[in-house]
Formats: sequence, C-alpha cells, structure tokens
Amino acid sequence: MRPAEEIEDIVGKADCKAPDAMRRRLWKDIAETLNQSQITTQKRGDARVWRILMNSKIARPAIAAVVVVAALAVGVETFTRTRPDKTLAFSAEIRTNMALDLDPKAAIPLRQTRPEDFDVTWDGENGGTLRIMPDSSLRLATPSWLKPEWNNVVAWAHSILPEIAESTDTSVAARKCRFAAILTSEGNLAVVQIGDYDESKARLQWQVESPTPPGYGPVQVVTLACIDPGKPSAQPCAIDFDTGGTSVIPAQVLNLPPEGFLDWLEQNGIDAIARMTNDGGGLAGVGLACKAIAPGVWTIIDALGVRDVMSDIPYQSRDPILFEEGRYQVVTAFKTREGGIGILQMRGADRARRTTQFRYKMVQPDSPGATEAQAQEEDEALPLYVSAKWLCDLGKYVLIYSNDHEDRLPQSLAELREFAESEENYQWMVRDVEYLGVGLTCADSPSKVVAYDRTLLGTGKGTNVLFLDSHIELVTPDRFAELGLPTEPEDAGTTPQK
Amino acid sequence: MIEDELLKLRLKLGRADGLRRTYEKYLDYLLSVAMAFVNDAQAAEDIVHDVFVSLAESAAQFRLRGNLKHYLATCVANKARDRLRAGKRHAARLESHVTPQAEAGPPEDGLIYAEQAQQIYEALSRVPYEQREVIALRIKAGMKFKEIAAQQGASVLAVQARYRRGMDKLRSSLNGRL
Repeated sequence: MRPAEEIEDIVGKADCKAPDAMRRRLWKDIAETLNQSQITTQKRGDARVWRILMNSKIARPAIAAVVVVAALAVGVETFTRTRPDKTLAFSAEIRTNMALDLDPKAAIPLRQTRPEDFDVTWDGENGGTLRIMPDSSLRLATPSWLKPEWNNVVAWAHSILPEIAESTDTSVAARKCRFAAILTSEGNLAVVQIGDYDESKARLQWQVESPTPPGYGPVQVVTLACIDPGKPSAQPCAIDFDTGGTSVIPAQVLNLPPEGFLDWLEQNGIDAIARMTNDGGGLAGVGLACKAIAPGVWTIIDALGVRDVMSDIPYQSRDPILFEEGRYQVVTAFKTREGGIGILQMRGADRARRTTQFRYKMVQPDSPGATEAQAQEEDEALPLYVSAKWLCDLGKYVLIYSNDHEDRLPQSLAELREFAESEENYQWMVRDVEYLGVGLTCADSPSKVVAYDRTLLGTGKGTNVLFLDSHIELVTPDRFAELGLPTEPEDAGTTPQK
Repeated sequence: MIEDELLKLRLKLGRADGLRRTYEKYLDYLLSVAMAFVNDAQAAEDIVHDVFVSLAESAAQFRLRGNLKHYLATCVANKARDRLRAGKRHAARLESHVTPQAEAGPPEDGLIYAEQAQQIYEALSRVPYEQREVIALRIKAGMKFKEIAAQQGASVLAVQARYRRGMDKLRSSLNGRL
C-alpha cells in the first residue's frame, strides 16, 4: 500500500474548479441575499440622511425654494444639494424628454437638450427608464443586486471602473434596478439612485466622485502639550484636522467659562485639544464624531472603508481618545464639523512633560499622488502590523505552554510548534523572532522581554517586542539598550544580553 | 494571511466587497472541501451556496476571531452534516458509491475536476462519514485535531483514531487504483 503521507498529498491535491457560469449564478443569489439583509440598515440609513438633511443649514431654505419654484413654474426641474458635508451629493427631479447634467460644475437644470452638455434623460419605456446619451463618451453600468445599499454601490462602482468604461449599456429600467454608475461627460464617476418615479418623471439622487478612488493625504505625526489652566503652555495644544494647523490657546481663553471656551475653540476651527487626566493623556474632540475601529488597521483600512465607517456615525463623541499604556493602540476614525474624514492613532503620552503624541491621515477625495504615498507607507508599515499580530499569537502560545509546564516558559521556539496556527506561522517564528524567554517563568517581572522581531531592527523605526505579560509594544531604537536589544543593525540575529 | 485579516474586517464592517472577495478567493477551495464530504457536484454546489448565503444573511453580525479559511471549511462541514441528518433527497447521495458528477449538469456549468480527483472523492465516499469529515478537515482544510475535536464535539484522541481508521480505509480503497 502507499504510505499515508502520499495519500494525504493526493487527497490534498484533489481540487475542483467552478466554471465562470456557475460563479456568476451562485454570486447572483448571494448578492441578492446580502441586499435583502441590508434593507433594514438601508431604511435606518435613509431616515438618518433625511434627519441630517433636515438639520443642515442649507437644506431647509433649499427645500423651501424648491417648493416655491415647483409651484410657480410647473415643468422646471429642480436641483438640490443633499448633503452638508464635502461629499458631492445632489437630488433633482427629471422629466421625460428633458435632460440633466450630473457633473457638479454644471449643476444647473437644463431646459433644452444640448447633447454635448447633458448626461441623462428620462423616458416612459418599461414604466420609466433612465438613459445616457447614445454614441457618446458616457458609460453606464448597473449592479446585479436588486436593492443595494448606497455606500456599497459607491464601493462597487469604484471597484469595477474598468468594466464601466467598457460597458455598452445605455439605459436602466427603474423596475429592474434603482442604481446606476455613470462615467459622465466630464470624466467623473456618478452613482445615481432612482427614487420615486413614474413614466413621466423621476426623482434622482446622485453622488459625484472622482474616478480615482479616494486616498489618504500624507501621514502627520503631531505632538501637543496638554491643556493645563494653571500653567498655560507656549506649545500648541489644539489642532484643526482640516487644515492640519495646530494652535496655542491663550491664557485668558483657558480661564473662560466652559461655554465661552467651547465657543472660542469652535470659532477658531479647533477639532481636538490635548488633555491629561487620571486615565492618561489623549485627545478630546470638539464637535468631533469618532469611532474606534480596531488596533492594527492603520495600514489595511482603505479611504473608502473609512468613509463607509463614518457614514454610520451621526453623533459627536464626548469620549476622549486616550493613549493606552502597554497596548497596541486602537485606530480611531473621525469626522470633523466641516466634514473632513480621517483616522488617527495615539503614539504616546508623557505624563512628566504633559505632552501627547499621535498620528493621523485625512481622506482626500482625489489624490493620486497621495495614494502613491499611501501605498509606499503601507508597504513600510505592513510588516510592522503582521509582525505585531504574530508576536501576539506567540504570546498566547507561550502562555498556554507555561500553563502546562508549571509556569515555565519554553526552552526554544521548537517547543511551540504544535501550537502554531500554520506552518507559515511557525516558520516565521523560527526565521524572524529572537526568543529571550529561556529560563523565565510567569513569576518574573512582567516587563521582561520574551521575544522581538529581529528583522525590523535594521529599519530604524523600531521593532515589535513581546513582554512577559503578553503585551506587544513597538519599541523605538532609543529604548533598545534599556531592554537589552541589539543597538546596531549588524547585531541583529545575535542573542542580546538578558 | 494578512488578506484574510482584511477580509474579516470588511465582513465585520458589512462591506459587500468583503463578501465578494471572500467568495472569489474561497469558492473553488470550499467546493473541493464539500466534494470530499459528499462526492456529488450538485450537492457540493448547494452546500457552498448555502454557506455563502448564510454569510450574506448574517453579514451585519459577522464576528470572527479565528482563521477565516478554517471557519469557512467548518461551515461547509456543518452544512454537509445537516444535509445528511435532515435526510433530504441529497442525503441519499452522501453515502452513495458511484456518482457520475461530470454528467450532473450542462458541461459549461458543471464542476470541473480531474479524473484522479474523481477517484479520490469516490474513495472518500466509501469511508464512514465521521472519519471522512476528519480526513477532509485535516487534509483539505489543514485544521488541527484539537480544532476538529471541538467542531465534532469529540475528544482529540477519538478524532485521531477516526483519522487513522479512515486513512487505512482510504489507502486500501485507493490501492492500485491511482
């Protein structure tokens, strides 16, 4: 008989492949289910959009104007900007044999059809159909889902841009699909939703995007002095994320009553101030909407994802964003009063100097240059994240091992092989990790170094270190000597002094 | 590995592109796992379909701390077992010895696999289901005995014994055939 290893190998290689037709057929069902499951969320989202719309400063006068204009001039299509933030979202009613230009620059109703100017028309075919100008440079594509969520359609439109550019569709019947992605006459990407409609007219909502998916601006690392009314600092202690500017708060402002202090911050465009409390140092938002995402997602969450996350946060958080000592810092998505969106991560808080340091990057709607910079940054930062995650796993394995061995840590990483999640995980430990846990027990000081990633030593940005209490820290080179890590890159790979 | 972490995050955020990418990445793999369980192309397709539909239905509540690939393989195993227990029309095929899968559907829409793979699936279908499940999860999904034991609600020793007995049957079944 064949040896068992050979049989395992043969069974492992017995693979199937789904043909394209099957892939499409299965996905269609799955996508429809996904959309059904999102209808409830969609309804909540619609209500929220309506609430935001009604609360915005421009919406009520605009709606009032629309009502007056509609009453006075029947047949004139109306045009409304629907979102108060930086997103270019609009709403208008379109009637049969009239035309509409979707691009924001030319956001005016057109009374007469001028083929070179307009993007879409409406006619009564199939109960109501949205059309683009045939034989033009315009392109239209529709999602295969019946009732998708707005944000998902935007993400989908960006993901299939090349397919949209080659699409031969020129119309979408509202009864079949309420969404369309359109490459407009000015080269923008418009995501259009058909609202209430009949054969003679339809209410359209659309969002105009740059065909370049949103990217991040450059990463900014900022150190702010924490506010202390008793000791006004000459160092900046407040930041406006939209402009990137930091500000010193004058002593007389610090002594204002809370309402006056808040007014001053808002009038000066401040989005956050640095504070030191008993819980630690961090940032307190000023009209800032925040949502903690997770540690380690700094490099993996894309700008579109951040925008999606923040689209569900209608409130302004009063919770401070704190530096958490000895932890991998949580990444927090935020949205400023002006609609700027970004992510930030605390990097440190110095209680003695009363300073706090953090990094942040803003989502920019159209920043190919920034996207390249982001890609470069991600290339650099990704190994840090992967290494931290796997060191975290190693910490768990060490704990399990010590639990089974009278609190003694393993003599070598080879003893942890059976715990490794995968062979790749184990090979990484053997190849990249310097293990310093020999002879340690759980009773030793929690600040003892158990292991570190030796491959990151030469980067000059520090390395991830696993401590005996299982926490992971990104240790900067200035602390290498203190922790007994090699200070010269050529020392990497040699066991340092313990 | 890092891509799976990203997929988990996207699934957690309820992003359709997360589900789409998971589907594209793992469809073939899950079909292979399902075939190892049921040796029936149509049933395998139904099982994988059901797994992704369940994932889509629970997209808003998706939470996973472990390995995405293992999680999906476990979902396939559970669905396959459900079919077996429910005694649906497909259940009859689960223990069937000969199933000409290639003829199950139109050629352009049927599952594609090599003749050797078909012999493997047929040989696996002769192994008792509990043993077959351990073999498939161990070899196809790369899961540890400890994880399989948790999934089957059995002890690690019992799972290892099932694996050994199943492999013995598989070896004798395949002897001289490949």
